[in-house]
Amino acid sequence: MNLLRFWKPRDIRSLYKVFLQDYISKISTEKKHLREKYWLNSEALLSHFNKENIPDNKIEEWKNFKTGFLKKTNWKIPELKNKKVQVDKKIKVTENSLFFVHGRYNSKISKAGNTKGLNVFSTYEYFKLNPSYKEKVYSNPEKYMEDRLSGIGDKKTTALIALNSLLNHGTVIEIEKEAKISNPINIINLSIDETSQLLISPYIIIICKQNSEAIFTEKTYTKNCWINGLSEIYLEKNAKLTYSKFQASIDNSIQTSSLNCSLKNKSNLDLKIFNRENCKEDIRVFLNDEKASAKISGIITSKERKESDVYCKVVHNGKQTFSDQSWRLLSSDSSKTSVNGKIRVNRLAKFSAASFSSKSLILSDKASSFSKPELEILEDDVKCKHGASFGEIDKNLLFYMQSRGIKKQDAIFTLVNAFLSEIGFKKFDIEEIVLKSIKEFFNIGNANE
Amino acid sequence: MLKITNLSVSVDKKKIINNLSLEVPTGKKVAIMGPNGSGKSTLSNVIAGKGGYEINEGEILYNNNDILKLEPEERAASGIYLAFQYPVEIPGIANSSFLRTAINSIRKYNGKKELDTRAFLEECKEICEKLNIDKSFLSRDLNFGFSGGEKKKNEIFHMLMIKPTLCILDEIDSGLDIDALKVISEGITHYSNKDNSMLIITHYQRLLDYVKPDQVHIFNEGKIIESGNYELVKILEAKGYKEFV
Amino acid sequence: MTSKETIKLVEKANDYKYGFTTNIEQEFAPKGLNEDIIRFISRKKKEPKWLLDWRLKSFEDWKRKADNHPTWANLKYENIDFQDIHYFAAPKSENDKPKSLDEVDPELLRAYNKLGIPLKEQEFLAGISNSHKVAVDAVFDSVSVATTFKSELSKKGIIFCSFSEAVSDHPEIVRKYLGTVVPSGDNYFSNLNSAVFSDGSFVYIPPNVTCPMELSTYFRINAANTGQFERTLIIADKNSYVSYLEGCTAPMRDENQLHAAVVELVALEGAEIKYSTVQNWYPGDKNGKGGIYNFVTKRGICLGANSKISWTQVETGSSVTWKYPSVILKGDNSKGEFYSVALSNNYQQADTGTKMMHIGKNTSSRVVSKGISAGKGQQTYRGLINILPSAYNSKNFTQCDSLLIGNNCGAHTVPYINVKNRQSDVAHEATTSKISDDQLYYCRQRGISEEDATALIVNGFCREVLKNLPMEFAVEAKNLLELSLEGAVG
Repeated sequence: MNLLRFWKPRDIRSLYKVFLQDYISKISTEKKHLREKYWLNSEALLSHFNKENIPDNKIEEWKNFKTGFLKKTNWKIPELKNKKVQVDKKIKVTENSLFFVHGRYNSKISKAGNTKGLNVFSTYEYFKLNPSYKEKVYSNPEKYMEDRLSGIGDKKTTALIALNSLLNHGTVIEIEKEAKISNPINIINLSIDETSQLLISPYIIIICKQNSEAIFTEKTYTKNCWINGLSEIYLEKNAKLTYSKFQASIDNSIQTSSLNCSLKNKSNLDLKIFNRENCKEDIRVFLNDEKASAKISGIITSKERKESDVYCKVVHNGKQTFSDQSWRLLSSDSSKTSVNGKIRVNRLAKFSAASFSSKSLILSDKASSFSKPELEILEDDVKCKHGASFGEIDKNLLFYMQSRGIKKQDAIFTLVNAFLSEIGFKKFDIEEIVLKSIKEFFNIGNANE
Repeated sequence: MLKITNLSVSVDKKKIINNLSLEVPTGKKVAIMGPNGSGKSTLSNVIAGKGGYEINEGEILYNNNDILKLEPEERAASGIYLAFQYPVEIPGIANSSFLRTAINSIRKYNGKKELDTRAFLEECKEICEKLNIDKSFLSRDLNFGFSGGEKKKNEIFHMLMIKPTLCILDEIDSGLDIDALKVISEGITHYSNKDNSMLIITHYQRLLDYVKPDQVHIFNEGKIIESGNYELVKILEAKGYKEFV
Repeated sequence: MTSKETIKLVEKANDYKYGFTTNIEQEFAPKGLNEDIIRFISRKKKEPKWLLDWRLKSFEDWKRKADNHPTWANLKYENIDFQDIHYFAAPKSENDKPKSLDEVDPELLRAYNKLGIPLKEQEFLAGISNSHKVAVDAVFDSVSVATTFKSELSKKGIIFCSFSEAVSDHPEIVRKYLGTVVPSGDNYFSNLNSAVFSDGSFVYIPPNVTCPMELSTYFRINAANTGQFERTLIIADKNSYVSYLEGCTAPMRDENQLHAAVVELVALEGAEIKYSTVQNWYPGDKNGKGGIYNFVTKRGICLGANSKISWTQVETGSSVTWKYPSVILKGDNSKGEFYSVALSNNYQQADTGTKMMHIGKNTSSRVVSKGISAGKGQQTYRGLINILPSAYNSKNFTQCDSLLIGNNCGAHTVPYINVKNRQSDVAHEATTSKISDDQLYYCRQRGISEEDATALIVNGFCREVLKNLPMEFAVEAKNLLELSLEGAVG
């Protein structure tokens, strides 16, 4: 089914209108009713998308990520029916593996049934089971609109969120109250149709109930796609979540995704991001209640003539909230890496502490790196600091290693690895993804080993 | 000199000092010893006038005047000096110019003329030598980047320059090596005379071995549980606080 | 301190020392902005045709932009009615310009004396020792009224005069450099300035000359409903050195007044320019009424190798400040520096910072910015560090610290760092903090009052910047900070 058969690359507005309306008419009446009552009204989403359209570099937050390709390409919407999926042997499947094929949860190949405290629902099911939650979070479409679609003082890429919400109902992953799940839960995003240019819209809602603890890793393996993702993370009182998001394989794909986190009392979020070329990540973390804390760390790499861009805003609303951002950027060839980290401490968020640091390593003459660490402080009794540094590989160190007989490429790899390891990714099995991609960078060894 | 009667102090409704009575006579060195969290630092802060404490009852008389209503700087001007357990860092202000501002503020308050700069610097150098402090101490930023020992020495340096009549030394010996402890003790002993008083708050007996106190009180849960003379220190050292608490 | 005392102090703090007006006969151009006004200004100045054409072209550009007032800064102010401003106001005596200082209107001399700026050279010689001689160019509303020490300077070949004089006496230098650093179309306000600028200072230091004294300009807005649009051009020829000071004040008026200046600095091979500003325009009253809108474009270019430009600014005045003194580091091994203290109290707003454009090899820049917000003040540091691909082995260090006093104010830090050369070393650090209760308690225990302790801590916070000011200015700046801070403690 090629919903984009009317696509004329230069006339995006009318085009989206045609295919989205076509798409909306196919949503079953019951689900449509749900969306319209509790969520955003599809017409509102559509008109919002038409109004704002795909952002371009006129918007400050999108200065460092080109979107022309998105506008020019004839994207297709994947079919709704589940095809039989064969999981590539390279992808390790563990006991808690949740597969999302073309952005939709696939229960047939996922393995989640045996873990106590972990539940996966469609949003429809979830709200049926938890009417109170539904009322609390989604009963007020205006508020939802406000929370999701307004950037609170920033240009949020709301058009893309609207697009995502139109094309996917979302999947809820719930960690039950008091549940402590020590094995990592793997979210695996796959594309299986490698030939056509698909627009994939994963929409994942993670709800961690009171006193729960969980570790998530999200990996994406795609080819020739545009992944326009939306993730929402809700941490209730005392909940603890470690969430790692990695681009494992991004052959010819483009990713634009949005990650919203809302933290309640004493909850704790440890977010780790591995953002590669052609990826734009938009992260918003709201520390809404007392003593909520978030640690956000990430590696941003890019190669060839591509761009890799992260926008990360942390908003302190509660007293004694804590946030720490640390980023490592690595650009080679003619690529560009960029990070825009914004800290906002609102009035009454007393005794809060926030910090940001970024370090860029530029590996070639034509590569570049951009950093914009912003502070907005409206409360006087807080401690905030940010720092950014740029440079190349220390020549003395390199020479030292070479003179000890280490091959230049290996020496560079070792130094880069040391530079990146300051972030503290090591604990995770995902390390191999990061290292593998860095080996690809330097053509060291066999990338597939 | 200092007379505290039936003093009760609380922070956030929690009682820290409980019906305490204590006298520091002129010309005497009084030591207060007690385990961590017994309310020793609260006592020194209440005498110096730090905000955030609720005085439930009792009075503090200093030279027969009630000082509880006075601002910290007024108490300082009347001769009360507190050597801080954790001296504060202020970047950008030279140690010497801070000290000069302080001394001149106190002089002004007492209707005296400002100190002559040259005389001030001469005296600074003299006392630095006495305390075995390098002269660079004067030009460095106030406590900024000082080691723990240097900060404590600086507190004694300030004391000798300001020349207060009541010196409250809050854990002046914590974090000091033996040499620094000796220097500081000598500074204190040297300064102590029949016209001034010392209130020495400490956890350990080592400082008291050098600065022989005239009176020793053991403090716990906001009140004095045992009083005596220097001998009490030795007993305490042998038996530990547990014996008394 | 009780809240009552604080309120009292805040009320007291509103004493703007320079708020007097001077009654002297003045001549105004009619209000409004159009081609005729520009022709009028140009005619008044007896300008050559090329300059008039340049003005008119700038005006054409500005008209196209007129409705697109820049909005990217973190500032809120009422729309400026550009037709409700006098674009030219001059003391009457300008008609037949005084030949010597003795002919200057005595009222004017008194005004400058009130500001603490002696215009008579003998007063300098009587009061201050030779080593601290300062040559002054005094700009009153739209025109330069007096320049001191001209003859002594000219012995060394130094040209220090008003901009108008430079246009008539040294047109070849003016024409060569005017608009080369800040092109008229650079931004909204530079465009406006280029069309209507009235006067300003001009400095030329010949090769291998170290200027023997500080050069300085004092700007004074006196007339009501008048905008001040001065233009300063400083050229330091090969291996020369000059230190230049700029000070400014204005009377207290209820309406907002516009100041839109342009400053251009050119440093040739091996030359060094040090430019210091103590900006003390009227900041408006404690309710935010009145005050100067200060929209200034300042930029220097290190044109030759091994040259250096250093900006130091202390910004305590104006109700709105929009100012980004920048350096284009074109020559190899050139250096740029920016040291800034900005204080906003009551309803003041400041959006200020710098741009460092690294083009040449081995260029280095250093940025130290200290922002203090008190009352309801809003303070933004906005800076750009741009390392171009040609800038091999370039270095930048940026430090911007903010201090908040009270909890109705805000501090914002917006640095843009763009690195396109790998052999470069860029570091940015920023902190935000308040004066801690512990620091205050410590000072008070040593006998220093809360007010004094605050001033002491603020001065310590700014020391790294203040120490870069020439001696006379450093003292003035320190006092200004204390004055502007009064009543901020609570």
